[in-house]
Amino acid sequence: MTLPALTLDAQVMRAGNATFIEMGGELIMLNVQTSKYYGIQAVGKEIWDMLGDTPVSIRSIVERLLELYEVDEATCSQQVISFLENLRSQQFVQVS
Amino acid sequence: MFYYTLYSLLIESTIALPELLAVGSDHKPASDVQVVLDRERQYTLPDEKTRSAYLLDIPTIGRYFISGGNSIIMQPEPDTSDKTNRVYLLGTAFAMLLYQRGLLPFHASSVETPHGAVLIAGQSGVGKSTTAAALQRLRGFRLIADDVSVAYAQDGYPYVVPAYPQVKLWDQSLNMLGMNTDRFERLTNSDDKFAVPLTHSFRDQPMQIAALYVILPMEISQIHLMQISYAEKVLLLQRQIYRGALMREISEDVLPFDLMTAFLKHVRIARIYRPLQGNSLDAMLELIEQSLIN
Repeated sequence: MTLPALTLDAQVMRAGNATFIEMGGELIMLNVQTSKYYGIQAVGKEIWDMLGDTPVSIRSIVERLLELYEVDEATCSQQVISFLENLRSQQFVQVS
Repeated sequence: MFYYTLYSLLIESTIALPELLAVGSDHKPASDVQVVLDRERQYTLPDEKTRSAYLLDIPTIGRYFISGGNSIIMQPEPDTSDKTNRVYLLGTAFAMLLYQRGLLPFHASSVETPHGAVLIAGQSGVGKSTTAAALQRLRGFRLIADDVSVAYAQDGYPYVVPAYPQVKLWDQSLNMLGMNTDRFERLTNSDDKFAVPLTHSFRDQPMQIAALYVILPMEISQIHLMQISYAEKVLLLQRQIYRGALMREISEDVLPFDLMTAFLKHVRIARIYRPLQGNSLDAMLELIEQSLIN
């Protein structure tokens, strides 16, 4: 099943049943369906920190990253969207 | 009937298993595991490969049916010696049984140190048993398990359970440790690998795990210890699971989340690169002891 591409206006949040542990600034996540582990570091971890139990728009995540890093908006948007699509495919985030 | 303890389980066996710790005949509570030898093939072993019932079929050696986490029926080939049969029983067959019981076997030897249990992991031939034997002989640390170390998590902490008081060593390792091969029995008739009993220096109680080192031989001149990220630790842990491919055949859920987090939180996990050539055993022991106190 292919999910529709995410847009900047999409509202995303952590999936309620996401199984993860934070260790030394790293995030280790378990996809409980496949029993596979994923490691998320650096900016990926920062994006995860910006997500919560209530939906936020992808645009607001991109805006905050643009304040923190010297990166052009198009690249940033594209990479954030691709990262969140990955998290969604592992059922770590949900789109509302 | 023979009674033994192995991995903190009471084993009831129709054949003698001299490697294991025997339990006196005066107190025999209900056994946890039954081991049955069926040379006459009285049982028809079902060709099942599920988590609860698994037929382990090893060509030219024999068939082992492991079920319910409490039973192993062995049908060795006529040419398979008792010794060889026990190698497969106590290795792969028991690993599968433990897995059925929710315990996780790692391909590692382990010893008791003043800082907690230390697991020495790695592929066959990297020096797990030799390192464990050296820690026992040269530092006086008692053995907990050789080759297969079984772990579980309790209240968020990881523990290793004792196996049996024996290390399996190649003749070169025995020589390196100043031990004479004449004194020990060959593991199988074909190998230069010997069974070294360590009954006098064996810890028979579970112990909290302090460290796990994965040994990797490389084309380098000096041994060194490599710290790794947590993500790499998770990968490394998964790769040290004993017969991992076999386990994944029957279930995806091999490394449970609670055990994984217990390891990440409480265990030093690192790689030790050692030179392919030469004897780096002394350096290895120093490196491990240094790492434990840092």
